[in-house]
Amino acid sequence: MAETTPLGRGAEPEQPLQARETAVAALPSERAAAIAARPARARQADPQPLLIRLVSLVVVLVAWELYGRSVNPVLFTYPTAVFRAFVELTTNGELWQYLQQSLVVLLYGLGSAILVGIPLAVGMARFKWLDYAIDTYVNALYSMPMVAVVPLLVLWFGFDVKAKAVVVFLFCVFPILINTYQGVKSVDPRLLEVARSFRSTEAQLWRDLIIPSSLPFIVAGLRLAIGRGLVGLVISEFYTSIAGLGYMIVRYANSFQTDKLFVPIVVLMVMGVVLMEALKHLQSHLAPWLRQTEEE
Amino acid sequence: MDRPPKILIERATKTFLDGAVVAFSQLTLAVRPNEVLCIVGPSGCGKTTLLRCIDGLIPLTEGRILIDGQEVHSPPEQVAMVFQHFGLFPWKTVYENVAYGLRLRGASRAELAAVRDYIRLVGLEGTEQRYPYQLSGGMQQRVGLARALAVRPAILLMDEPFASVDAQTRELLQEELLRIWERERQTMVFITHSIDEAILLGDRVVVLTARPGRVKEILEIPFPRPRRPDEVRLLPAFAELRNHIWEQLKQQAA
Repeated sequence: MAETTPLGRGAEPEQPLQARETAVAALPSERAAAIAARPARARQADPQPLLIRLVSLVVVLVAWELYGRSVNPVLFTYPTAVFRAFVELTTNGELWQYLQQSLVVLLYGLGSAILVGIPLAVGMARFKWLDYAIDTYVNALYSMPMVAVVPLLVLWFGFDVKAKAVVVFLFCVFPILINTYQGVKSVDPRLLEVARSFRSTEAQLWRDLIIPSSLPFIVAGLRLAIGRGLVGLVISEFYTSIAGLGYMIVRYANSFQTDKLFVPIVVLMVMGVVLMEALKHLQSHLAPWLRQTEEE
Repeated sequence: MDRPPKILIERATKTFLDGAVVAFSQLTLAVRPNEVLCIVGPSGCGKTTLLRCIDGLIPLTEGRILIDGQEVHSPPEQVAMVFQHFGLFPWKTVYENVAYGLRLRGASRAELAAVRDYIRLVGLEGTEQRYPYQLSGGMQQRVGLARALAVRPAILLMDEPFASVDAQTRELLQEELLRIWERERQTMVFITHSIDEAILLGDRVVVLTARPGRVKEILEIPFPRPRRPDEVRLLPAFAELRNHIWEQLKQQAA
């Protein structure tokens, strides 16, 4: 269940040429030789990802601006209008007010998913009886479209923050649970043997082997959870007491203020991207050796 | 043999899958203190399994293994193993990997100071903060060796330790191992597929039969210590031994 990075990355880290050559020299011999053997000019011409992304972004924004201006403002809008709306909604405090409501729900939902999901997964991986007892329910609930459950949740939990948090919880908990479980189960049995041969106790085993080995899986689970959590957040805001960013979306869509409509959408997008990127960096920070295996 | 054997394997049998697979059967072998005992045998003859049984990682089906007169049920304290796959923890630095065994035993600061000595001993000084993925295969295996040595074991179990490195590195590591072993002359059981390696390193070479493994022959290696591989390889006795052992093994394969 653990996801892989969506885009395959080139092998070399993004560094100035000299540092890159040192890094190349540190790679195992065959790879270093293959990289060094490429013509020098080709190496120096390695594109800078950040630069290309910026250029691409500018191109997209300009195209959007030109097209958007030519279309009926009820249907579509353009970047400068969105920016103006953004400034307006920020200065009058409206954006922050609703964003805050959404963030609280996200925090409760995601937080409880982590607090429940990780220990439960560890327990299931460790104790077979627990695994057998609940895995059927986990698989069933994971496969079920959560949207269908929302009316039932409203019935049980009402319309307010609690209901929304439960929805977000249900969207988040399964990726976390399943990925953590996989992480613990995927511990290299050869390393287990090494640990046993050195007479490791169970507690030391967790500290030295199981937790570090599972961390990349847990982070992968978190990334998936955040993606689903944002979906759950907006859905919960549509279908329960309408508040937060979901409220903004509904209101501005219904009143055809398309420029203001884009503001919460962009905010959600940015939130998603920022959180994903942060987790991706956390993942490479925690597991530098995995970058190596992804390259090969 | 004046002194009692360091390791005594008595009529040991190991089967898997309810007797469907017999790794070795009624195997009896004594390992002398401070000797290097090399075990060669055809593939699948149970030598790796035997090593793990000696280390208490796998239980015997029948028979027993005694180390210093005590029966083995779980990994004994005075035994350390070096693995063919290196078995380093990818998230630990070289220093942390070598210190692993010591830390498990609750070593004090003073004891941990020895870690640097062992890293230097295997020729990896300066790499303490690197991670395994930044090291070549030969370097990784040196870390594995340092890790085993750091707990000052009386017995070293080597599970085809040089099988996963290239031929040249292998020869270098053989020489290094000989040099390192001379310091403390631990009892060593060394499993290998390479007959040359067995003769170079061992005081005795045990030839096992194909599965189910039994002791086919034990040869004494007459070369004096300290061994110099370049010289030993040129001796006629080396070639004779080599041919003899190869003949034994070929019979099994046929």
